[in-house]
Amino acid sequence: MINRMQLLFSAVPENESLARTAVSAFMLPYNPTLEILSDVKTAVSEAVTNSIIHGYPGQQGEIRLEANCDEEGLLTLEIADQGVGIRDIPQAMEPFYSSDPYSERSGMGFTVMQSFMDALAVTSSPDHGTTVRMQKRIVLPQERPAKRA
Amino acid sequence: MLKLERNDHTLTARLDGEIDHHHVLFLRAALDRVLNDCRATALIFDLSRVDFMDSSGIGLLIGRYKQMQSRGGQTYISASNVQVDRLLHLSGIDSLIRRIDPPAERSAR
Repeated sequence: MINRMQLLFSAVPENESLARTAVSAFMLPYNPTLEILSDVKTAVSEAVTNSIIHGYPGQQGEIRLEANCDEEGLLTLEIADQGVGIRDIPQAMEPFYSSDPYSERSGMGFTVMQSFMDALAVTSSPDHGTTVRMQKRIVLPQERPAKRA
Repeated sequence: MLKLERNDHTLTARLDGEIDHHHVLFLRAALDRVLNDCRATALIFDLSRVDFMDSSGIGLLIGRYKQMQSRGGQTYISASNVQVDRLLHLSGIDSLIRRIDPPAERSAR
């Protein structure tokens, strides 16, 4: 069975922790290691913060978070906004690139997502928003229960 | 969330809980207020009670490091958990800000 979750929330800083906590609660039944749990929480935090700061600069909006986990323990997350979008995705993904050098942002959001997850894909179109899709195996192969004959 | 201790010219900022963009907004304002009115020549970030940190926290650390540097001061980081450590390492902050052993707390909590 594939387990699914969807969450729609306002793009406000208070909800960064909500998003992390929800994903972490979704993962708990799979018994992930603490390291895997914190990797995913960090990646979620980065994606949601990007949407709040860069997707909706000075404007209101909503963020949709979708999670699913298959029988093999592969977690897929999608974090989508309908904000201003990213004009140059490769540039935005460069380590230490920040669209606003005076804001004291570290420019590491995508680097963190890339390093802490197994796969990352970003789709975006100007004025239509950005979707970040990330995957990570949260159940290690040897821990998977043997299938019944 | 933030406890500040001053000892001669050393300012120790003990952070706890979760450091994300939301909390950084508050932490930055609180830290800058104190840094502006004191003449600390050393700033120690004690991260031993931080359970979670994302790259917003890295931005906070680098920003304060630059501020200290511009007045000829030093910045240090003491103790952090595994998750925070991996992030510090990934950001390369390790090569900018020196690690020291956790300072003892001056008064009982």
